[in-house]
Amino acid sequence: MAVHSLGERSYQFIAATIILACTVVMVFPLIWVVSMSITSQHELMRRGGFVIIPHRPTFYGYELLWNRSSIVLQAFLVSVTRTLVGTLLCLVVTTVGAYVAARPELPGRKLFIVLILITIIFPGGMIPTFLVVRRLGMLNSIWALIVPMMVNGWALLIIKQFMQNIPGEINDSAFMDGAGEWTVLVRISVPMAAPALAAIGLFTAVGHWNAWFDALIYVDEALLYPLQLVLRNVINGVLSLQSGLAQEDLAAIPEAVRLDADSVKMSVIVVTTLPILCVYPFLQKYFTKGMYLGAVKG
Amino acid sequence: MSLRFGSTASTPAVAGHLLTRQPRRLWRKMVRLRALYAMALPVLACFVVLKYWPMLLQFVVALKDYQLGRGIFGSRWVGLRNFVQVFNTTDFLAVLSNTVEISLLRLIFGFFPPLILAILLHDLWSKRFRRVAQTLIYIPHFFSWVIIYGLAYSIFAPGSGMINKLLVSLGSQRIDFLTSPLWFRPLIIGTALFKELGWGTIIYLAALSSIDPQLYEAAAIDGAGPIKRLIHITIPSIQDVIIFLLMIALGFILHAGGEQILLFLSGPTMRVGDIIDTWVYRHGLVNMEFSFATAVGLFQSLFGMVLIIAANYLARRYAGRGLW
Repeated sequence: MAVHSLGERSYQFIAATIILACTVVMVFPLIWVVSMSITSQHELMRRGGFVIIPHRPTFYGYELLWNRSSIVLQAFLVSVTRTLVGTLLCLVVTTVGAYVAARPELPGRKLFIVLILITIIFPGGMIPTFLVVRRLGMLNSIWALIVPMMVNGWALLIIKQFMQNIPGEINDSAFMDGAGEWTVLVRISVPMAAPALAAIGLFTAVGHWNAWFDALIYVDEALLYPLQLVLRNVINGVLSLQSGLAQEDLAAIPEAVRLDADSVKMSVIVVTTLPILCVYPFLQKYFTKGMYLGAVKG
Repeated sequence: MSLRFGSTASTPAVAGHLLTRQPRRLWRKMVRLRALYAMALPVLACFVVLKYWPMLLQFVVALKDYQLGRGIFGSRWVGLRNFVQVFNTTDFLAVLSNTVEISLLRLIFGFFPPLILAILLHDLWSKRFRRVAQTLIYIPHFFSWVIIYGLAYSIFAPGSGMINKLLVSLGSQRIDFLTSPLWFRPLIIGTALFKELGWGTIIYLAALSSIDPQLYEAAAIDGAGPIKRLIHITIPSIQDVIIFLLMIALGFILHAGGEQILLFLSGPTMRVGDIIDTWVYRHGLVNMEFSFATAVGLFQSLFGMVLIIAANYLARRYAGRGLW
């Protein structure tokens, strides 16, 4: 393929242009949000409202999050807690369940798998799930954000598939040496399925970090709001980060630093997005594999 | 005669022996593997409490007039009254048609772009450009809907939104994209595409990478251009994957993305954007009409289950693989 036809070259050009356009569309909003969050009201007015790179960036919006509103800091802690604890518990349930489901000689294994599959096909629905969480006494506690996400049928079946591929002889020789089920699970199955577990763990963590609807319905206490719900309230104007400030305080802020109301909102978007962008490089290594596993066989 | 009698008598005896032996062997195996059952039990308990309990509860709540104060047992059975009430509500048909219409729009505008993008990425000469582009276009998938909503706000808000700033600087009128019934659906489809376009290419790219490059080389020698190559090699090679994903998308058509729509929905856009999920949320958790909302949810779950099972059957039949 030394010489390419005109058709081939123009196709390459068109393809590259389309891909470039998609990439720009995906990345630009992020740049825009960051720019907005650090451009002062004054500079916005002076430069006609459309600023990508501010001449005098201001970090007042971020200071506001850090100093004035423990709301955001508190929400950050709630999100971190639910993500760490929730992911850990989900992985434990999923791994143990998958280990059992992956043992071909176990009588009743088919039934177990079918019971898991049914939960995927036929969901309980929003209201009955709410009533169960309420009955369990978990409303208005952090457990309402953790426990319902503990069971995940898809994840279990994917890990099961992975553990099934471990040669049976490895397990058998361990049992010969007198190892119990838990030892085999921890010492053999978990290390062998580590890539899949890492992928599922990362996806679960992202799911926890991104969840907001569960908090909307299960939690009334503002102290238990995760970051996503706080962000939604900020964008909707239900919650204002500057509301704690008196009029004279606002007037005392130097003009070059002052942000308009929407720019303050942008700093919350950036803070909420940042952790995702930080773990993304690690995610990328695993997600294609995880995604492919899920698609190839559930 | 006695011999024959003996033989007929011995047959049930042998069968009986086997029958008692089989369960005994099974029982011994189960005892030997008791540690596994002990492991399965707590996991199963979690699934029973968190999945099966709500699953069964929805039948009870939908058939009762559930009042929080009276509890499940204290509330009256009302038969299908809740369902009759749901179907008689003036909103019902509007909500159902919104759900189906938005889902179909999602399917039409959400299904083919990732396929096209995947083929373009696959055909790209520069592998480095391809890798960088892939890394960047996957990112929005990992953002929450709240973040996507925030990004949309920063671009489309009436005051500080980028597009309105550009419109104003061009001397044009502001457009209130976020609360306009006209712009609601394009906004929903557009933001969903923004989130999932890149991610949607992954399965196609995996399938595309398994095509034998010799096929392309042979086609190039025969003088086939990009379009011929697409029609005769690329599409036929991945058609199973395309059919599979299309069937799955059809199976989940009643799931119109409640979390996303709930964020974007506002008073003025209710008419074009209210879907089953948001309707259930408002009736059940805002107005506390638990039985009414559960009846709607049950209708959705049952109908959705039929669709998913049908889609799985069709995917197995025509694509050679299903979800399970």
